[in-house]
Amino acid sequence: MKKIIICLMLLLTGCQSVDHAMNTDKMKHSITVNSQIEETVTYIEDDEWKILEEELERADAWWYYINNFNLEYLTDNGIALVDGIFIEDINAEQSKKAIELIGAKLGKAFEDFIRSADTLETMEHGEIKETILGNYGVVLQKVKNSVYERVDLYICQSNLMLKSEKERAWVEEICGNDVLLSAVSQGAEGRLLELSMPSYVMYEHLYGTPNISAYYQVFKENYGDVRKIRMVLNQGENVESKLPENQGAVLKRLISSASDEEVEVSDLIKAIESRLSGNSGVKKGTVGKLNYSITKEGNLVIVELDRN
Amino acid sequence: MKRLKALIKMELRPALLIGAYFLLVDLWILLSIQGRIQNAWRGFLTNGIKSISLYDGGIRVADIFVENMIYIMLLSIIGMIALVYSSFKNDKSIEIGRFLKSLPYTMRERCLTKMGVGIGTFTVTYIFYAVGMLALHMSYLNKFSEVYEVTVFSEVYHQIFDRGELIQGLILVYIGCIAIYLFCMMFQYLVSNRLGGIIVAALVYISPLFIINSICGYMNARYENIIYKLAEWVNELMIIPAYLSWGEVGINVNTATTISRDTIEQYAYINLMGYKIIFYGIIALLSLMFILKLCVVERIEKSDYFIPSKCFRRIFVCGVTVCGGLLLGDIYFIYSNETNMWIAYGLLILGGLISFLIAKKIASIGMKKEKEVRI
Repeated sequence: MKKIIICLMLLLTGCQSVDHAMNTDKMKHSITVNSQIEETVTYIEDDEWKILEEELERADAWWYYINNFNLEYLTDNGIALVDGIFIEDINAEQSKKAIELIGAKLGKAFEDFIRSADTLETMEHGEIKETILGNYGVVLQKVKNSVYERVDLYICQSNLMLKSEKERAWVEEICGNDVLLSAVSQGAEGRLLELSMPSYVMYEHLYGTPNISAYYQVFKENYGDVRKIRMVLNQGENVESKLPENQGAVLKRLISSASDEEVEVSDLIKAIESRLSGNSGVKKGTVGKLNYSITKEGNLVIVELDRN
Repeated sequence: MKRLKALIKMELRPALLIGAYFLLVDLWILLSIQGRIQNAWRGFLTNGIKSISLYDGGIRVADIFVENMIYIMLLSIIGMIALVYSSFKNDKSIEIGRFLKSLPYTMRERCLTKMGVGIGTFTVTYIFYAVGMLALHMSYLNKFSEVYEVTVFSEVYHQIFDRGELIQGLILVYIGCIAIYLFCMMFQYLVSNRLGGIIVAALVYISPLFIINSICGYMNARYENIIYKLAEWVNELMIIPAYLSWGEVGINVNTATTISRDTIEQYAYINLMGYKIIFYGIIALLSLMFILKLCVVERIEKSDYFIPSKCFRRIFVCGVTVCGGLLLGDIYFIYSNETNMWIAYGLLILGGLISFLIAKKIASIGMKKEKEVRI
């Protein structure tokens, strides 16, 4: 009987001895995991960006530097992020030197983009204009009230470069001039690429989201196939119900690539817009070779696309 | 069963009220877990993979299942005590008690009905809680598994908190609550006063804990001492069954350029779950055996006695004497900078003497009246 009781106790507790049982509260698990992140992605050490920050510091410009990445993530969790620079009121005297320095780094395309700020005159408070220049995302935002009117500039930089040339080319094709690679995470069973609109990164770094903005999560198998796509739309405080063209374009490129054919997504965009203006709930359907479901949770609209 | 219908109906009245309380507690806990999972998920959706670090996104979310076991345990114990207190209301009232005794039910039938209704009420609500917890755990795993799969720590997330451990925890909380219910019920048969019975039950329950820790203090026991080890076991088993421990997980990350990078993270878990299940199972069984033995003992002539059983009266006096003596010594250890063992032993004897007199007085409550009647 005694033996049965002891066996039952050890069986239930999974311990070889009482001493072993009492020591469990010291170190429950010790695990060695192999990170593959360094085989997937490289962190770009951008000296020019650092020089730019130092120059901006010396120029005493009206700016903020937003540091939101941690190099340790790259080696530990396999997550890397972008960081950015914000310049308040690009036409202010204090900002001129900063704009000059950034223009010298980003070239003519930046100058042209900045000049388009004049067209923002007719725009409402909070409206934005954004583009991608190389691995930089540039956002202009109009801020308008009864006292002042100004245009703010935000530049975020993607510090990541995928090691596989094939995958790098695929990401460049998907991103176009609309989104940039903002995070990469690598596990044993798959990887996640996050592609963000520069405005989404800006809203995350600085303040709430007055306007609609989005980022995309692409879950991939380690050998490269897309497993799942998720588009996260933040409707913003203005609760917009129209999907901006560039956000729909990225979605179209992603779906076409995952379906291995050119896919018409106008019905999906209509479905998203109906959800944007509708109440909480789920809408399901098919687009290309993918099943989609659109969910609304508060001001977030989530579009999930899985393989059939 | 049909014969007992009226008895069941009578016992159900207080049990239903406590059942409603159990249900509210369960709902509150399930909703709070649901809310926290939803918040973590919303945080991931809004801020992406960077919001998922090993601690915030993984362990912290898993912790909520364990943490909530403490709340359900504590709140259920309160409910169980209230259930015992209310279900003995009629039995301890002299008039209603006499009326009940005149009914065609045996003492054992009444006791078993009371116990069955009490355990049944808790069991029904607990099944609701357990199913809810398992469903939430499944929804948590479904939601976050896609996230964990793309992080380097996926293996760690799987190991830290699996379904087997959750089921074991749920069984532990259930057995623990039933054991405490039966333990309190047993004291209702040993002590004639309802509130007194609960207080004595609580004191008896904590007395081994207190005695062994006090002896450790007197002996200045260190880790290698058997008394110290015994105290560790008693502490581990007797403080609330589902009491929380903070464990550590050591993670060595190998990368292409770094051979090993150690991260140590803390997370919540319940220690020695299997042993605790056995321990509380034994308490429940022993209490049940005593209840079945005590419930048939008729003590009409001793109904005014605070402790009708002569044997338990002696145990009570001995226990209070020992604990009181140790308590005075403990107070001396806490407040004196330099301890003199002779003073400590002196206080042990003095405390024992005072406690003995107090215990004698308490144990003889109600007995004086009988003597007066005899005179």
